[in-house]
Amino acid sequence: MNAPLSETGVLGSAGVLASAPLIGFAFGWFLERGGLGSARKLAGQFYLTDLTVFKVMFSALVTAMLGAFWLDRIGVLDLGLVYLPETYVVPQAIGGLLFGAGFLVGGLCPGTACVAAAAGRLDGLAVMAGMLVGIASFNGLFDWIRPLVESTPLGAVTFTQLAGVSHGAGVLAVTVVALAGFALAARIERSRA
Amino acid sequence: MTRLHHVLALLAAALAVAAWHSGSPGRVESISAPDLADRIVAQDAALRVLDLRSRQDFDQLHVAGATQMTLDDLRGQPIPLSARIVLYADDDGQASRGARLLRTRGYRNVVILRQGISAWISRVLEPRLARDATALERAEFERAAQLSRFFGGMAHSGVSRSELADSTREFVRQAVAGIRRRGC
Repeated sequence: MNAPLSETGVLGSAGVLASAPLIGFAFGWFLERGGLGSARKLAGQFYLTDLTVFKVMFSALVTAMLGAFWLDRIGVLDLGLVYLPETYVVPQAIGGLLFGAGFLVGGLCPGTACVAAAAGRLDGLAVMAGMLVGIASFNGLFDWIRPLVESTPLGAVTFTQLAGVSHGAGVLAVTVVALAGFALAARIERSRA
Repeated sequence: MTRLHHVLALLAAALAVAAWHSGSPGRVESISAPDLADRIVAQDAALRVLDLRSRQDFDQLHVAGATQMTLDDLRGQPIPLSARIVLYADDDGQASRGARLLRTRGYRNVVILRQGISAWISRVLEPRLARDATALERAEFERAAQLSRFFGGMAHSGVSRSELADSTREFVRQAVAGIRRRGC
């Protein structure tokens, strides 16, 4: 989150450590002010009764994507220095399903669970406890599940590389999907109001 | 949706269309140390490896066939435009700046060596295999061990995971000292 200042060494290691809690507090504050510490609001997107989460997440995604692309273009940020995690198709698909199921059952994702817990909500504490149990279980079982975790590797690739299109075309495609999604979400919310 | 929402949506759409027209960003491509070693072994005639570290660090140890230069040198050195240039420096950021600088001079085939001399040591000259290595890691180690022999290095097997993860400047310093003692 503090790229490119961390990669270029401008902040230094102390600056990176100091900026992390500031960004974390700001992230939590905005989530809470946006009402995203409420499990009812988060679960509402699965029942199409409240699409705030969808709109917040896609707004953040499009803002970050356009910002990163154009900052790289004008020479402020070198996207080549930003860490790109490696892709493992099957284990990450399983992880995504588990994450989605946990999201629906708990009504919170990891970030909003921390916000809810900090605001004193018991469901937030329960989801955080579940996360810690999950982390401990994953580490305890790691040797056993390691072949699965390391299966189907694709390396550090992006969707545009796989599709064989330019980064700019990928940026346009995601923006079009997001804007269409916003319009559809507004229509659904109006029809249910 | 408010008027502000419409304005922001239009702004996002305009930036996205402009992004589409501008193609891929000026991303600096990189090459891994084993892939660079393969190119050197294959005697790629167009390959030029440029070391942007200090003369002292270069004299201690450098990639086989590399030439020492400064960022200022890159502004005026006569290098053929058809050259396939690989840059490395004290950090990847500095190497990227060098690559961007060459691009402004019209060089299109410029990449940086990912993680620089540290990767050259840990993945080519002194590859290490963990005690509990996976089959994939063992296969990669076999390839690296062959490259290591070619470049006069030494492969190490049976090391701990914590040793394997160590790629700090201290690791580089100790590795360089070890290689120089052996007379590589």
